[in-house]
Amino acid sequence: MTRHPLLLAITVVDALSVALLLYAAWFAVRTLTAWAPNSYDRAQLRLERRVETAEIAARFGLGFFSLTSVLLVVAISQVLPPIVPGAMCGTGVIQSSQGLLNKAIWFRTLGVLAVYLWTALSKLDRRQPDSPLARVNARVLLLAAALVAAAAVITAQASLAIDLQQPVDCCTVVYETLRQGAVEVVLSGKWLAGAYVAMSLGLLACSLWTIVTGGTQQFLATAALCAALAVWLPIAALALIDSFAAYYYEVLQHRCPWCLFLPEHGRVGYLLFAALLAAALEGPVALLSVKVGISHPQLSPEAQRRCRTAVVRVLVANVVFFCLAVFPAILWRLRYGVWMG
Amino acid sequence: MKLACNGLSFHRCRPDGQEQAVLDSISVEFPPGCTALISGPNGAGKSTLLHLLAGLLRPSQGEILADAAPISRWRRAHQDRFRRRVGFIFQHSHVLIGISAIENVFLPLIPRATTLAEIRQVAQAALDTLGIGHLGTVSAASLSGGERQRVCFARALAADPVVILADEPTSFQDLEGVHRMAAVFKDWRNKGCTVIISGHDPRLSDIPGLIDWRYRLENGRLEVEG
Repeated sequence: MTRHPLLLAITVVDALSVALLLYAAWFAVRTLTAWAPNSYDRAQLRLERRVETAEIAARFGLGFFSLTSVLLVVAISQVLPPIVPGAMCGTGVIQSSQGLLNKAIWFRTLGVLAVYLWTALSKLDRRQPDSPLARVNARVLLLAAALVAAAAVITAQASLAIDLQQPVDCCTVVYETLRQGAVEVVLSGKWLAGAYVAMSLGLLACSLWTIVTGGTQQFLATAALCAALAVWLPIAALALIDSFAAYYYEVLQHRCPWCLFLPEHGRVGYLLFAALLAAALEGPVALLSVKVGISHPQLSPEAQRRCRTAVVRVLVANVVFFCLAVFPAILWRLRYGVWMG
Repeated sequence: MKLACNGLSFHRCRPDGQEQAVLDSISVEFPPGCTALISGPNGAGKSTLLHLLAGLLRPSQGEILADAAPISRWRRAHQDRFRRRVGFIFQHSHVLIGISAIENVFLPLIPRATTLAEIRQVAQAALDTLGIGHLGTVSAASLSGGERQRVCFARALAADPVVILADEPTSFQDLEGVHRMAAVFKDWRNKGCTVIISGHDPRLSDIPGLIDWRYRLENGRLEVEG
């Protein structure tokens, strides 16, 4: 168990964001059960005012949650390794929490995804004065609140579970053993890198198709983009860990994602994983925007604009990730005339 | 712009914790190009009604429609856009005393993305209309109550409103000031603006051809007088 100030701060701010979100979630429940846009009686007017206030509370709550999520990554990758015996990077810190921090990061990623979807929907909704997306927003907010609350609880449990007495193996042992794992058998080395490059080109094509098309074609194009993203994301992450990270580490067979966050590797992990996260967030937003534009014609121009912005961001994330992941490998090849591995 | 109230009620919490109905199920229409006078005893809710019509307060029940759009239920950002089209003359002038009269008048024009020279020109024209063009550079702190009220009037006109809401606009005016204001109200009404005045100043209400509709607000109810 550790009472590190940063972990305590994360726990306190998480508690605040959960409190704000629970307040907003209560009015989301009321919106789902009692929203009557055609009525102007007292109960409806009061609910409309409260929902507006709750939205502001939710925005603060979600902002705090996003902040603590970034701080948690900083804590795992930079702050805690020096105080966990045997830890050289975030992998050791995660081992010392019996894997709970890993679970917390997954829940946080899902929470941030739900939060981002809610924020995008809420922005679209605010374009019209009469809140046409009130019910949809309420559903997404409830989902986001549940995920954020779960993530906060798991993060607190993980903070308590960190064992500072027991030394950990860290990535030197763990990622060597991964070589014999299923990932290695299915796709490895050049095949994985090749699959990544092919999927990146596919994603690029889908992005361009979505940008140039409109109307019903746009929905198809966006759905194809999301499908491509669903395949691209795990392949890109695996290719980074399995193949491209080696060119940063300049060491063969070191499959550790957390070492990319270390200062000796230029903290490039932040940019690489931010690009993956940006693509993961913007893809669903693009699809949802097109769907909103179809179901709510009054929001169609704004929804189409948002869809295009989302697709452009996916494109940029794809290019940034490609440059950061692949260029060191190309430089290596140019310098030494061979690929690693 | 046609303004209408549909079952409009407003409740306020009294110090003893009890709720008091200031306005009770008011339904009324204010057509464009007409001047309406709302009179009634002190505390009847005249100012509250004007604040509700301007979107400065939200009703407890019912809605306010501007050209059939329920503006009282709109989100704040959208209400702000409507409020930019409303000129409000407050009962207590609310001029900023640290700046000059003309700067007070051009404050509402600043977010409208025009040039400073243009803003200054519009503000000066509004001051001239009210007969206080020579006071433009004078600090608002040194203006009398009546002059401040005229600055407030000029500020309402500068933004080229489609609705003018005037809360006791002549309370600090001499007879010349009352007649000048009445002339301005008539001009704007003839341009198609909806003018709603609250108050009980007979010097204003008795001016021939100014008031088209007279209402009396009492016990939370609005009755047509003529």
